[in-house]
Amino acid sequence: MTLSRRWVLRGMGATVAIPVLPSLLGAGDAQAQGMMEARNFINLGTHHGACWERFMCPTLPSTGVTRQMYAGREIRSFALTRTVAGSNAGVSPVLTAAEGRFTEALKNKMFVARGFDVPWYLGHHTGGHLGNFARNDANGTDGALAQQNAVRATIDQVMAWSPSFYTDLTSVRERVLVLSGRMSYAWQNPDTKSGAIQEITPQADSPQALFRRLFPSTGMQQRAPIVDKVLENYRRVRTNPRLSRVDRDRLDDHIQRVSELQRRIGSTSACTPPTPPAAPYANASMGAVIYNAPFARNPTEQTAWFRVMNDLVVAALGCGLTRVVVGLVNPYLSTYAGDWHQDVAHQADAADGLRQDTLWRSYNTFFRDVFVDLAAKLDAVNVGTGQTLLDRSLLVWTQESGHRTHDYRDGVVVGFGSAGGRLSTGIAVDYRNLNLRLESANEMNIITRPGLLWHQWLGTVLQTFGIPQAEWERPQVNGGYPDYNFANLQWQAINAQTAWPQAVWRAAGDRLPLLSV
Amino acid sequence: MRTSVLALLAVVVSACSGAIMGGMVEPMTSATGGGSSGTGTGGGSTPATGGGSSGPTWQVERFACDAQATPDELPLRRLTQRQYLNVVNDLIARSGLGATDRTAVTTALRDELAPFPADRLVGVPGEKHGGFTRLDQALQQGHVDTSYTVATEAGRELTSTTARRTALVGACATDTSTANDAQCLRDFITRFGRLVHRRPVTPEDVTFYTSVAGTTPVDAAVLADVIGLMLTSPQFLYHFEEGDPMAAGPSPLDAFALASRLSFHFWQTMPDDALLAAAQDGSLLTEAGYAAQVERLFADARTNQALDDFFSQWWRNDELPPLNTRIGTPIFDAFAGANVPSATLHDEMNAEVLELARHVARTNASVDELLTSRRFFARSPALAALYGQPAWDGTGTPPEFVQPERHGLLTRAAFLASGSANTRPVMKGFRVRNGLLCTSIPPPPPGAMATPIPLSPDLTTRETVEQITEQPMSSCRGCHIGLLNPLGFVTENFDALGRVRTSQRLFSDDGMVRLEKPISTRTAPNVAGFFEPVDHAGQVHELMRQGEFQTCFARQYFRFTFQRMEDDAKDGCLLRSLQDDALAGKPMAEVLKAVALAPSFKRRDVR
Repeated sequence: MTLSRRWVLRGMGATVAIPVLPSLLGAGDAQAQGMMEARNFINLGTHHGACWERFMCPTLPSTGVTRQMYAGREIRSFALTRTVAGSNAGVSPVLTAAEGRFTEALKNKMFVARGFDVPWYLGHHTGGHLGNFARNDANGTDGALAQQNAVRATIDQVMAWSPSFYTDLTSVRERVLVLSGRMSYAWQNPDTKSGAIQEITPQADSPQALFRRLFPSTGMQQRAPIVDKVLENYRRVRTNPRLSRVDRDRLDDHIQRVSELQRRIGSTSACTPPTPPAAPYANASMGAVIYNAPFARNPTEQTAWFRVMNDLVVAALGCGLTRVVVGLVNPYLSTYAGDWHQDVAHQADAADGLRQDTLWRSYNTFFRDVFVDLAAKLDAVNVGTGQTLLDRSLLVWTQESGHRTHDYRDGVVVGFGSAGGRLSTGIAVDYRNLNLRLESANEMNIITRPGLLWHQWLGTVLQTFGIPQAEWERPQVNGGYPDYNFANLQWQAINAQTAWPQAVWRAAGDRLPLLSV
Repeated sequence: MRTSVLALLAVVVSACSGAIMGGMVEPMTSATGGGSSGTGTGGGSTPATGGGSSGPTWQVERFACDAQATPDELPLRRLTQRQYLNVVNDLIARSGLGATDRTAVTTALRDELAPFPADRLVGVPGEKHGGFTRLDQALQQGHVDTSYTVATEAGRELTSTTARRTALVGACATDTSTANDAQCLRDFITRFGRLVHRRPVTPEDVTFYTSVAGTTPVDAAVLADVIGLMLTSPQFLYHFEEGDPMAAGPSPLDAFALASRLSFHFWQTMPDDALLAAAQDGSLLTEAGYAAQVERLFADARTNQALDDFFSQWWRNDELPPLNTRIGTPIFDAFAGANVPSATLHDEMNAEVLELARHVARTNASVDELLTSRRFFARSPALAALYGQPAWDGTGTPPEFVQPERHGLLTRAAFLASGSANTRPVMKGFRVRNGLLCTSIPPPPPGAMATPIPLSPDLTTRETVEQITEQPMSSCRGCHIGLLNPLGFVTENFDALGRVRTSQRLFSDDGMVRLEKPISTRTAPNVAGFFEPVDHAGQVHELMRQGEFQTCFARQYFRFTFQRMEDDAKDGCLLRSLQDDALAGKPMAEVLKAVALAPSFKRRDVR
């Protein structure tokens, strides 16, 4: 295989020439089986959810539906149909973008999966996207209990520290590129998977800072880095007999991180650093983009900022500087001037539909101008075998809640990329049990039916990327990830055992049918 | 009348706390009602001197001191973000470089320092509000990566010119002789290392640091590496406190560790020369010498930053949002009128209450004064306009409020503003009850905020809140009517910008005043066991100072000082001392200093 070509990424904030590296392609067994390596996992989460299904989800067609019995219910899949209206094309009102950007070819690399549930009251959360249910706002007894008992590392970190995932760290600068807080959680000592689970703060909060992190200036190195001596110093001090055992444990944690730093410093990439991001986007943080001029209430400028970040994310993935990117995105991409949380998200069920209208249109803005942009940029990177970086990746959009805020029922995952052929694309999948109905206060616009467990989605992701189940699953508790099956439901009229019977909990260890290849 | 009110409130509060016994409603007592709950494990309670206007049986719960208890301690605390940034800046300031070079080095490090992870607010487990950044002891890759980058860059910058090397290391570093280089390096390590380690470096340290040197020991690159190694050392990045693991009990801190603990507590940075000298000559380990240093440090203006951090985090100032985000919407514009909020108005409001705290700390005033002071500290004309009087110029004795409705803390704009055209009584009440009185409040029931309730557009904010949260038989009612709403309703005579009002204007969507209705502040506060109706915040302040506020202060300052949650059983002695002093009305400054004078501040358990 000759890989001499270079591809050029041109975005608003960066232009980068990246050689096609053999290390980006993966090899070995997967190729021999007709699959390519499942290389990159990118998860962008958005706050709230609460988008009604008629705006969010593709409509079940009358024909062409594949049906299968699974875990005690019929599940369904069907081909996504892209409807063109004027200059836009879409598969649902939210999932609509410019026709020239959201092409038929790109649509065929997309999937929409619905019917994922967290079967207890979780309320507001940021950790659930990736498996740490404890990071919730403790609204409700179940949420408070989860805060105490459901503290888990998130799947991005499980991946990043699995020996099965990063088999070659030569070019890797960040095991996980964390774009925002409160989404990614890891052990105090991730190498030994020991110590308290703690939040991972973003490596950078602006495009400029991210650029500096990914592409540090290298200057003339007159001497070897001192990181080896730093390690030696900590090991030396650790023997101080006047420290306590727990002090030495603390130093061990530090030593592990210096070792990781040592590895990062030794990483090499053949990429030419891209052009640094430019004003006004370069130094704006995500918070500033939402709340400060010139971005606040200006979706054009807001989404432009996100596209600059997309450029850097694609550069990082294309250069092999990381293989995992996660971030929470404030979805307030709107001209709305009030309190989004209270007056839009919490009022999204109001019968007049006015707030729902504001809400779903902001999600559409996110999809159209941020999410599709990232997918298209990943798809523009040809990795040399007739495939693109997107083909080797799994790019997903997850939401905090299902169709009602505070309520993770019928959660929807919007994805691009087949992860090297491991996932089916061009389809919508529906895992809900249409024979059951979860009663709730406002059924005028939302009728919720129990689906499969969010645990199964998370477990499917880990399996898709080849992380052995023995590393992360505790089947004696439940299948999938995480091992937390709290069933003390308080507000469902339907019996929990009926909605999510043991068959559903057992199935959570499976790769999702219809979606998985 | 009194009986019926008592019974009603007993029902709702007990429902909130799950304290209904055998179907019989028990009258409220201190133990289940207004007493602070915090996170402690209980401990005995003894009678207090409370009384005042509260119910005849009410008494604040007192901490119990068990002198035999051994408190838990944190392992090897890392510097907080603020402490780290301060220390780096102080080291540059004390490097010996000239002013121009110091500025250049500081500027060069700015981008490198920026990624150092911000500390998270860590508070009571299970509660999503409040906390102190000092309690965040998570060690992240970002701490290690950033400190490494800063260290290596600082090394390069400090040694990048001959002039800088001369100033930092001495003439021996730049003269033509190489014979003195080795000694020159050792002297530098000894001198600069004392600042970096905040204690004399050991011979082993000197040997290790010199081990990076090659044949030209004071070469710029060598010096940069030595500095880099020092600034990544555990003695620099952690509070490195040694002890005797085989001792029968906690070990007393040695003089240098004590100097650092004092300095970081009050100044959030490394000890100054005088403090290091007191450690060096042993005077810091004498009672008088130590007390003198506590006095000196507290009196120094550098303590103000720690005071600001403590009070802003205890009072949850970060929850006051920017007030300008709704400008341009008809309702808000009509509501704000001439008082159009700037992007910094919320910061000015928070600065005002912090200035109050500083004033109390510097004027021999008691903790109670935080609640009851009517001094006026608004410096900006925009904020002062909300108070209806000219801005204070910051000199002399601060004037008093001119508006009689301003009774003290709860009537200051920082505790009133909401960022919208409407007040937020529930959040006001939560902040007071949970934040200022340390009362735990159960989480809202599932879906409490997710289901819109059809409301008449003719309702005031208070009436709306009552409609939503006080519906008979609703699961919301207990906590709201018993704990949350009263402490929000009592300041409804101030609008969402903190302006005094007697009525609430109700606007149409296009910003026209559609209706104007009188407001009501009458409410039963359930503070200090008092359930009779009150009409204004001044009465609530009086009830708060019967013991709950001071007790909460004791808990919060303990957390801030020791960087962990208190354990009532094991930490009871110090908590009791703090509580006693605050309840006795001692000057707040004395209470704050007393923590540093306590035995538990001066020792560490390394067993």
